[in-house]
Amino acid sequence: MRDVIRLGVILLLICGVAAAVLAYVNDITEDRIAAQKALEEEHALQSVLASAKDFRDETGKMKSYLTGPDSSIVRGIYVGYSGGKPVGVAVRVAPAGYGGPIESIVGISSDGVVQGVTVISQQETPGLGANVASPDFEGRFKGKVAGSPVKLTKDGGDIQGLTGATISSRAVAKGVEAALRTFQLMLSKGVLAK
Amino acid sequence: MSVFSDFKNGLGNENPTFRLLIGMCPVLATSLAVTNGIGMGIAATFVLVGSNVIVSLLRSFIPPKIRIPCFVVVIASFVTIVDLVMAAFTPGLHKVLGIFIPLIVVNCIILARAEAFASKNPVVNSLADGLGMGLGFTLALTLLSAIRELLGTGTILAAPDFGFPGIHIFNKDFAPVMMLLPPGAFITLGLLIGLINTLTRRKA
Repeated sequence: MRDVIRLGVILLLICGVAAAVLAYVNDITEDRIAAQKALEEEHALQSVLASAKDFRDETGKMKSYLTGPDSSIVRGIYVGYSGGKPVGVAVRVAPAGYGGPIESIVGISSDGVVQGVTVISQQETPGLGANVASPDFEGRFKGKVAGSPVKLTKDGGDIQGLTGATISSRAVAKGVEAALRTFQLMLSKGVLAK
Repeated sequence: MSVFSDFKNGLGNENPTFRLLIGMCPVLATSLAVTNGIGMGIAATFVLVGSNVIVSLLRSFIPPKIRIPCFVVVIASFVTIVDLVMAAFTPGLHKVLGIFIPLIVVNCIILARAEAFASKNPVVNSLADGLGMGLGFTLALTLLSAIRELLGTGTILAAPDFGFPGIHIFNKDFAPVMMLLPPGAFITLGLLIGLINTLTRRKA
C-alpha cells in the first residue's frame, strides 16, 4: 500500500513538472501562433480574390441562412472590400473527398464569377486525388458563374476531372457549387449589395 | 561502450528501420518524397535526442515499476513543445512537417530507446545514441523516399513548399503510381531489407 502511494506521488510530480513546462511554452507561443494563422488565412483569401484589399468575416451572420448539405459544407464566409466597397466574397468550403474533407477557399467576384479556388488542406491519395491541390486543377474552376451547375464532364458538365480521382474531383466541384449558392443567398439576403 | 560506438550503432548495426524493424508506421506512411523523409527524420531525431537526455537524467529518480508512463509523459511533452515552438517561430517549416510531428508520439523508436538505452546509460552516451538512432532513421527514410519518389513521379527532390520543382528524370506518364501507394512502400522496404541482409551476411 505504501508503495502505491509512493509511486503515485512520483508520477504526480513528473506529470506536474511536465504540465508546468507545457503551460509555460504554450503561454509564450500562443499569441504568435494565432497571429501566424490569421496571416495565413488572409493570404489564402487574397489569393482567390485578388481585387479585395481587406476581408470581413460574415460567417456568423450567414450561417443560419444555409440549408441542407450546404450548411455542413460551408465553413466560413468573408466579404472582400476595396476602398470601402464590397468587391466579392470568399467562401471556405470543406466537401467530403475520398480520404476526408477537402478544405478549400473559393473566391467569387460581386458579379458572380469564380475568380480562383485554392485547396488548403486535404488527405487524398498521393499521386491521384492529392493533385486536386495543383494550380492546374484549381484553375479549371475559374470563370464558372453563379446559377449554372458546376459539374465534371463525366457528370454532364464541362470540367475535366482528374484521371483516377473522380471522387476527389467531384468533391471540389461540389464545394465550388456550394460556394456559388452561398453567394446567391448573400445577394438575396442583402448581406452583399450588388 | 564508447560514446562514438553508441552513436555509430544506430547508423549501421542497429539501424532502427533496417535492423531493428521498429518505427515502421511513419517509414511506410511518409516516404513519398525525399523532402518528407528528411523532414520527418529531423523532427524525430530532435525528439529522440531530447527525450533520451531527459530520461537518462531522471533514470535514478524514476521507479522501475512506473517507468513506461513516465517515459510517455516525457516524450509527449517534448513532442508538444517542438510542435508549439515550430508553429510560433518557423511557420514555414511547421507547415511542411506539421502533419508528421504528432506522429512522432507513436513512433516506437523513441520509447524503445528510452527503455532499452537511456534508462540504463549516462547522459552523454544517451545523447550519442539518440543522435545515431535519429540519423539512422533519417538515412533509411531518405533512401526509401528517394526510390519511391523517383519511380512514382519520375522526378526527384521536389519541394513544392520551398518553390523547387525537383529534378526531372523521366516522364510522369511512365511512372507507376503504385510506388506512391502503400504496396510500393512495402515492396521497396522489403527489397531494401533483403538487399542489406545479403550484403552484411557476406561480411560476417
